[in-house]
Amino acid sequence: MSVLTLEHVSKTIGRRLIVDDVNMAVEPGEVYGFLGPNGAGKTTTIRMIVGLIRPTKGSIRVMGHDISRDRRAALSHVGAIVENPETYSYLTARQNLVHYARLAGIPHAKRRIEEVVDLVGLTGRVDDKVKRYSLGMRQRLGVAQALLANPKLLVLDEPTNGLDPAGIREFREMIRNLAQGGMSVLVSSHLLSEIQMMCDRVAILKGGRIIAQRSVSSLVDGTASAAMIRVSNENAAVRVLKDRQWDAEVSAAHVIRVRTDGSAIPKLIRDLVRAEIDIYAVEPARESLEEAFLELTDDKLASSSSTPAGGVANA
Amino acid sequence: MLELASVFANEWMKLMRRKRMWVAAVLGAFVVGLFALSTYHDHQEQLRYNSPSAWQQQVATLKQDIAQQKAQKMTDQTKAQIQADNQQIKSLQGQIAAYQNGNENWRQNVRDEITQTKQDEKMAAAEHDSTTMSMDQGSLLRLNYQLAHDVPPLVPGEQSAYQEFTSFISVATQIFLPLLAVILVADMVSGETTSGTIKLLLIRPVSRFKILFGKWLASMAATAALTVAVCVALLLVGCGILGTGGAKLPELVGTRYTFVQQPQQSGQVVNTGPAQLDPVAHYAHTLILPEWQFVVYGILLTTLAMLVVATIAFLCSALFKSAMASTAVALGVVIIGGISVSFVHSKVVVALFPTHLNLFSNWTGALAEQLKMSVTLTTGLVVLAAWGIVCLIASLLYFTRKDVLNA
Repeated sequence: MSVLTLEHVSKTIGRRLIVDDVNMAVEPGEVYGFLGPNGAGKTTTIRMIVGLIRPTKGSIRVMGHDISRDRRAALSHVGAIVENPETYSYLTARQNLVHYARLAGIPHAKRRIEEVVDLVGLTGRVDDKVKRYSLGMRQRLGVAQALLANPKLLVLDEPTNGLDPAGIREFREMIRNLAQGGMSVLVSSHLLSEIQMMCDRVAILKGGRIIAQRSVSSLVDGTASAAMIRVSNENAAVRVLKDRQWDAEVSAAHVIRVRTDGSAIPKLIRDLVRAEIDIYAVEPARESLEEAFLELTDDKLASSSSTPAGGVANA
Repeated sequence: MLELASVFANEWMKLMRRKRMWVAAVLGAFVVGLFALSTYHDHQEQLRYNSPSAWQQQVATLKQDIAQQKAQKMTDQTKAQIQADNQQIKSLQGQIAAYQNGNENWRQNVRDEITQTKQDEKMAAAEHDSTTMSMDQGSLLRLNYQLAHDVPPLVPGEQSAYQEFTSFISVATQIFLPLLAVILVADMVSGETTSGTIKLLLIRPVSRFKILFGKWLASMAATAALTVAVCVALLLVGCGILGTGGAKLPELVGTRYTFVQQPQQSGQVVNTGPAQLDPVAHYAHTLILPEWQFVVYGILLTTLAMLVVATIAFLCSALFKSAMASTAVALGVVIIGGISVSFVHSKVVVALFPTHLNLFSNWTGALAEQLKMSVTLTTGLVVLAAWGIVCLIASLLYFTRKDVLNA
């Protein structure tokens, strides 16, 4: 059974269609990424999943429990950080955790609090007021409160915002560890490289719709790739290749870039050799997720600026 | 039930650790200090002009005046003056005697007063002056109570801490105490919206209804605690300065009032202005309470009124996203409301909550006399309850439905 399913979920605010017929499922132990430009509806969708916003249409189920009709059962499986992990700065970290533990109805709360505090590495500082914490420590406290109730689904909205590179790396490792332990994680991020490194599957949102939903590896492999070829005379090489119907261009000094899939590369090399172009190196230019993402969203960019989805959802 | 208790425990923990709690407590202490200062000052004045030595001096002055009048040519005017002076001297000497023997002859004095009042009442009846008649009836109830329950009046010059308290409360309930309630409660929800913590609060497996209701309960508990603490402190300070005298003196509560147009008396200029209404008291439902009991019940009633103010502030905190805005609006409602009620002369004010914040005056009938309408304690309680319930339901309805879009 999927940990999280969204079926035909839409949200209209006023006359604006913020989220438009979103369908998705997150499987156990999977890290699922939400990717999209600002205003694509990521945050609105995430807020609907954690019960902060009521969907206008469609159903959201966590472990089979509908979030609108069976809120308590659904949310008892969810831990979340929604944007910045705001906790009560006038309380200590322990008081914060006691607060959330009471609401989650956790048995043996004391022991569980010690466990999560150890897990996120806040031992020793747990009785300090949160206002004396650094941003990184607050983030860890945010993770601690999200993990407190041993959720089946961890929802993280822009979790690495404001973290330094070491913190991001640490965070990424923690997420992967949690997923290996069977927890499902839903992450949204504007850092494409982050999603690429953290997630198993990714949904790309644009104007409130999911325009692509694939495994990260297929997204990287499946798009048109290219070959980068180091040659003696790049202009001559491009001319020769264009005569033979190749899609080639000068990429840098002595480097040309030819759009092709891997199987055509031997023929490409033969063509160059016949034209007496010296080849120094041939390497596949595997496109990153970022390029794939831009490619997927690029042709719609012009129209998206006029669609009414901007702003609200990402606030 | 258990969930609600958890929410309450959480909200109480947060409430007690917020800065606002301390701001409210310090302001409360400031109000008590203000009361102490003004009571002490009044008391010193009172001692200066209302002590045996002051009275002796007045007697001496009066005697001088009599001597002066006698030196002049006797006219009706000077005769009347001398008679008045003599009466005043007699009363002053009575005061001095009472002061010196500690009210030994109070029973006789009360009996004399009863006789006098009964005569007044008869005269008023002859003139069909129902206002004066009913006032005299009230005085008789008080005087008879004193005799029946063996309660001597205050020694001349003595002030009652209970009366000082109730008169200060009538000011405090209009501005000071509502201010404290607003400061304490007006950001209960909006504070969390402003800081963003509302998001992590509302994603728990607890219904929004319970979260908000728990918040409301914690607000009510804190408001009640603060109001009672300030009232008790005021009373203790009053008793500390003025002593505990007068605790058993009677207070009439629950008196009903009707209003009549007084008959034109002969020789009076015909009144062409708006009809002058005079109160007539009816004592069928009147209770006679000793002052201390009146004050204890009064503190409870004041607390109830402050709970309603706090509920209005609570609604503001649920409606507005910014803590600043909700506090400002709640303050505006309470302060502007309080001021405008005293300006507007319309029947509408009966339905407004600031009219009934000083439930002491509803109970004694002072409010009825002021509004020239038959307003009782029950009226006040019903109006306040209506405001409280409507505001609570409105905040619950709004809060359980709203989308948390940007917090």
